Amino acid sequence: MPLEKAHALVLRTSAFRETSCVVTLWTREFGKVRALAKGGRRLRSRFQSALDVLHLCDIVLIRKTSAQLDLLTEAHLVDRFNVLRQSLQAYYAACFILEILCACAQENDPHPQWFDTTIRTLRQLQPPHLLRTLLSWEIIALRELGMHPMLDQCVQCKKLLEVSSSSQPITWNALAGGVLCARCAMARSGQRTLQPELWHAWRCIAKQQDFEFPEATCQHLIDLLHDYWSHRLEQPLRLASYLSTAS
Amino acid sequence: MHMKNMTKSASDPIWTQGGLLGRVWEHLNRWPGIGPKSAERLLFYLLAADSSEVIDFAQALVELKQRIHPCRQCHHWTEDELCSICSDPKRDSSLLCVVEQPRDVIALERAGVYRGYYHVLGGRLAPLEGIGPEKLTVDSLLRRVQQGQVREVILATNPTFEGDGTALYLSSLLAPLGVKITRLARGLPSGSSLEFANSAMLADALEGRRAL
Ligand SMILES: [Zn+2]
Ligand SMILES: [Zn+2]
Repeated sequence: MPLEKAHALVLRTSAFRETSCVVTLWTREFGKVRALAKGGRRLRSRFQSALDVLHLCDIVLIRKTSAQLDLLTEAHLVDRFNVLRQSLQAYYAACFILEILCACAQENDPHPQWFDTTIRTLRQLQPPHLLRTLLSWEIIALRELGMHPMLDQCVQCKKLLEVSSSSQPITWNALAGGVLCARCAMARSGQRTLQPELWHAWRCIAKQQDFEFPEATCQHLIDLLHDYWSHRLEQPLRLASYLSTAS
Repeated sequence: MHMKNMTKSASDPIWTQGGLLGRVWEHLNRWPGIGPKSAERLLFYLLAADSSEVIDFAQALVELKQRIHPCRQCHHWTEDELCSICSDPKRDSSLLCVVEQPRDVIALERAGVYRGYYHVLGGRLAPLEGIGPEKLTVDSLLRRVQQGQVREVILATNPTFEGDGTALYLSSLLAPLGVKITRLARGLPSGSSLEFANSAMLADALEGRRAL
């Protein structure tokens, strides 16, 4: 059985027998991993206090065949992201990231760049730019998962979107996965209008342009994105309501 | 470790065929920390034991479920309306220590240094599992603090991600009430050495340092 080293973010832990635990990890190298940590719940175990939710660890594990749990042999804590423990909103934002990772991370599907972005984001989640930081993360996550909506062209006929005036609302359809041109919008139901400033803000963040937005724009965009996530994941997100009221 | 071993195995063909022996064995096998072999050992112990002892134990179990309930004030287990701690007038009513579970009260009492009162939340917030404040005794905590005797609330939820989140949430509710809010210090366990402490323990210990 090969020993493997990895960088891992702890997504979940559950008790197993009296003193052990099963940990769900998101690793930079292998994607999602479920592993048994023998004695992992003992205060003085060799894992010390490394195995808690949203701890970044350097780990060593023995990979098993697909039907079996991997075996965690070492875990050294690298970062526990103390900024998340200083503001309730940062805490909820981190819980949201955790919820997306739990829902989307797959075994044998590593995303090293997204992993690095996530670690950076967890270190930076603090007021006053908390929502903006979270938005950037969400847009990168959608891209990595191949779920980012079409913003520049009609999702149906692929025609380039013409935004002539800044007051003209844009038709948005979360189910279709993007914006619609006027003609296609007539033929579909289930759309809502997207205010141009939200559309601009989303594109700006997606293009990683440095641009200041009013807090209210960020909050509306957060709500819009969470609605979009729940359409794409086909399940309501538990943390969405925390983030729309926590601000 | 195979997946099917994840849940506690209850399959022992000798005992799972029903009958009274099997029924008692299955109950014992469900207890935390008791495996199939230990359940068997306990079953034979009960069979061999003095019958008055076993009957007394059985009656105590029945009474345990009938008479023990949460304390009206702090939600710790008690037979009376108020638990022995809440009904002790010699305690310091300006201190209130908030814990997740009744077991935490026992642990703190065993340490023998705290002389204030307690409040048992009945768990911790876990937004991802849908455990919100409405499932805990948060309302009753706020009412107690609003009564005005409490000067300091010690948030003694576990030093975990969820315990810390619960403490953050509670402090956001308690701050407007004008009480002092503290969190248990964390860091190095007594009797350990710096050499073997991980970086998080050392960081916590430095952050929580105090003057001598
Ligand atoms: Zn179109
Ligand atoms: Zn009480």
